[in-house]
Amino acid sequence: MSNEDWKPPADASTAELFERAVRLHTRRLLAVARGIVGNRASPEDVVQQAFMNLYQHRDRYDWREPGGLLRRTVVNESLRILRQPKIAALPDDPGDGGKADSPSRQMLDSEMVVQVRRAIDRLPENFRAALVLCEYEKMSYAQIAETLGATIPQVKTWIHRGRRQLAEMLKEYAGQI
Amino acid sequence: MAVHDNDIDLLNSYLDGELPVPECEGLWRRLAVEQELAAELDRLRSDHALRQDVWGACEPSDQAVAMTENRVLRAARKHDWLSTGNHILRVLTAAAALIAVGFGFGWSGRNHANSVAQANAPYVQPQASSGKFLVSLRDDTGHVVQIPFDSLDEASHFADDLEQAQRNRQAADGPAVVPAMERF
Repeated sequence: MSNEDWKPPADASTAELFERAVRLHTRRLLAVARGIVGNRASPEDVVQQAFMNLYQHRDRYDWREPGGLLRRTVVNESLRILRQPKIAALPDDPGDGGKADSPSRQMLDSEMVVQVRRAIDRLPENFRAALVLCEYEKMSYAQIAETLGATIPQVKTWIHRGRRQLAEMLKEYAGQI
Repeated sequence: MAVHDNDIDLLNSYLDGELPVPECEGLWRRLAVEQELAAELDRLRSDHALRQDVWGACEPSDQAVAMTENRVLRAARKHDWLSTGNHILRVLTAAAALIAVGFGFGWSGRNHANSVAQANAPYVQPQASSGKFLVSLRDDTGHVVQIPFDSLDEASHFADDLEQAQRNRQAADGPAVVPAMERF
């Protein structure tokens, strides 16, 4: 039985539910954090901080269905870190953060994917967060708006402008080679 | 002719699954006849696919996931431990402070009571010249007052009564001198 199939007992303690949430959601949250912060912060730190922010006030939340709450907290923590002044960029190589042997990892090695990643990193943070939630998390515009505390038209604008800017940046790159 | 930005947004909404059905139908009709629009849709699909590779590459390794899970759970346990430790420390500090304050008050009160009692304690002294027995006591202004008695028994009895009255008064109101006249 996988983690996702396991239903917590009715009398499960908050600590047990929290541990289950950590086991169940960390992989996805790390990917979301990495998509938003890029190489400007450690996604592991972002996710840990997000979990701890919630854990400090754990009695306020429902830990039986924490997916939305966790995603929102990770997105907010990622944006908070990006808005801090003077963030030193981490090296381009994600190190242990990437799947060393996966096909995706091999694709990342291709120049075009690297360029797309760099272009995404250059987008304004709201555009990037909206794109990650839309394209990686497959969330609807309404869910993204709720997660980012924005309106649906705003989210739509961020996503469309983000894609247009990406296309422009990649056109410039294509013109250089 | 380049595809208009509004049409690109329309195509993106379509790819995101956010286009209402009536608009989808309208778009399909246009795609059937507008080749440039269809080519733009293909280009956007290919961009989407490329970005999916980028997002896929954001997925962490099993090792990174396990490491982060352990870090989070360790941090949570540390938080619990520190919270419990802080709570116990706060209770102990408060208890120690209360005990210290209690001792302080008790100690100063005890010294004060002793000194007053000693200062005001009556004592009996025989006076050879008059054949009387004098009970000496100190009032609250510091003056010594002597009260004569004909017999030692009377003087001792008076002194004992006065001392007892002083103790009772101190116990009730704090230290104070009982004027000798109150007894007569």
